[in-house]
Amino acid sequence: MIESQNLNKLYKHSDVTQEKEKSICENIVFESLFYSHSDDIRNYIFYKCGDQQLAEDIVQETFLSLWHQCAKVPFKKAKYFLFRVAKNNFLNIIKHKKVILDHTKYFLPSEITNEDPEFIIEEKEFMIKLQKAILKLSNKQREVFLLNRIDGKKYAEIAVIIGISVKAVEKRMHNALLILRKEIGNV
Amino acid sequence: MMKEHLKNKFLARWVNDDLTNKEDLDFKNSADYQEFKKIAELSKKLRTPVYDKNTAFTEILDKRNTKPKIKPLRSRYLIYKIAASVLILLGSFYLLKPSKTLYKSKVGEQLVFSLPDNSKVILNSNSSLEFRTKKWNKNKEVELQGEAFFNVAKGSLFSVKTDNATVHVLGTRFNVKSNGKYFETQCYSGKVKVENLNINNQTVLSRGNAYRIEANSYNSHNFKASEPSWLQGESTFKNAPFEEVLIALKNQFGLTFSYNKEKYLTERFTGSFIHNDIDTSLQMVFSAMEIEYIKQGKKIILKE
Repeated sequence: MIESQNLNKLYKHSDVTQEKEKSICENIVFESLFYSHSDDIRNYIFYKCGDQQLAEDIVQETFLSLWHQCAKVPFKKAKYFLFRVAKNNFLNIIKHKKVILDHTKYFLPSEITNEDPEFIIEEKEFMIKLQKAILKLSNKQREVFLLNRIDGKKYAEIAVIIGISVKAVEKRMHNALLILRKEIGNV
Repeated sequence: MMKEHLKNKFLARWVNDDLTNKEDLDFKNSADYQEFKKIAELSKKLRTPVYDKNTAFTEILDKRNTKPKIKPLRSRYLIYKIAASVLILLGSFYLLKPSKTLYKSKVGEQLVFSLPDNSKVILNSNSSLEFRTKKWNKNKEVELQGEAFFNVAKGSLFSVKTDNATVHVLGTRFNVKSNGKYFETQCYSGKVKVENLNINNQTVLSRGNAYRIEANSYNSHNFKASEPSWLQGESTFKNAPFEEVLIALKNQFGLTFSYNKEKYLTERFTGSFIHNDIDTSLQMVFSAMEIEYIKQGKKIILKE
């Protein structure tokens, strides 16, 4: 009897302390969502089209549609809502505008902080080879490879973002590495 | 012999540090290992162009409070649609509006004006006349309610439509009076043709002829005046139904009458009243008919 009363109390207590689900319509929540996901989304779209301006426009459009639907989207699903909307926006634009994919402007030279000048030169040469090789990847492989390498996304997360299985992500990653190896060897 | 590391997903697992120790060792001893290692390590140093999050977020805040816009393509067509509708609307106003002209006289007021063919019209009190300005040449018709005198320009032909009859102009000067079921026309010079719409009968009137429709009967009579007396500030009646006299008084002075309609249904009146004095006019009419009346402002009560 006493035990069950305690249980009830516990249950009630936990009910009270249970945090209310955050609402995206609150400015702070919306802002934090923007600062934690906007660059990931921007890069994700950027890897697809190689157009920085387009990618950033899509991010803006995506967050605006999140705001206009803030009451409908649960906080927990916000991230995947964002990636899905961004991808759809991108596909719509591709469909209607025929964006020319230009993958030559992907990267900025990375800051290489190494004291050995010879090593730096060697590394720079390799980086150029690597960048050229990345252009030889298929769109699907490139997307996975760059999300993993540059953004440090785990396979599971990439799988959810792209909407494929983890196995498929691993397969694309494996093939990407094989192709890069082959391309760099040829150069 | 197939190399182990070229098999399905191996490299993906390696890059993710998921290999077993043995696999790892074997791979490190393979010829390709150094190349793969370089790819894996240096690809981490690649950078995408800088993304200015703060500016991007400010832009979003600016646009956030405006509702999603209508697609520009559509709104452009919308503007054309609105413009077209406005043009059509204005056009139809232009076509419709000036096509009809209406003259309407108030109680106790006479109006003088010209028709498009320069014929002169004098409209008696509380009457209206309507005609088409635009299509005058095609459709020379005027619609009359009440009483009007027409002095037709030489050589002009037109018709005056009323409820009961249409008067076709053949000559120059004539008077038309139409109140509900009552119709009367006098020809003062030249000729007019009256078309009685009730019985499909046509009569040509010459100078000094009058034609009258009341209830369902019609008759003709002659008169001698050279123009309607109402043009001289006097209404004259010749064997007219009593109700027509009351309507003329109403139209001239804005009076209302209270009386037993049945009693006076068959009464006739020959005589006249003047337009500039109510009391004299009432006396002229009612003393001649031996009717007593009480005047209460604009209301006249006839005793039985």
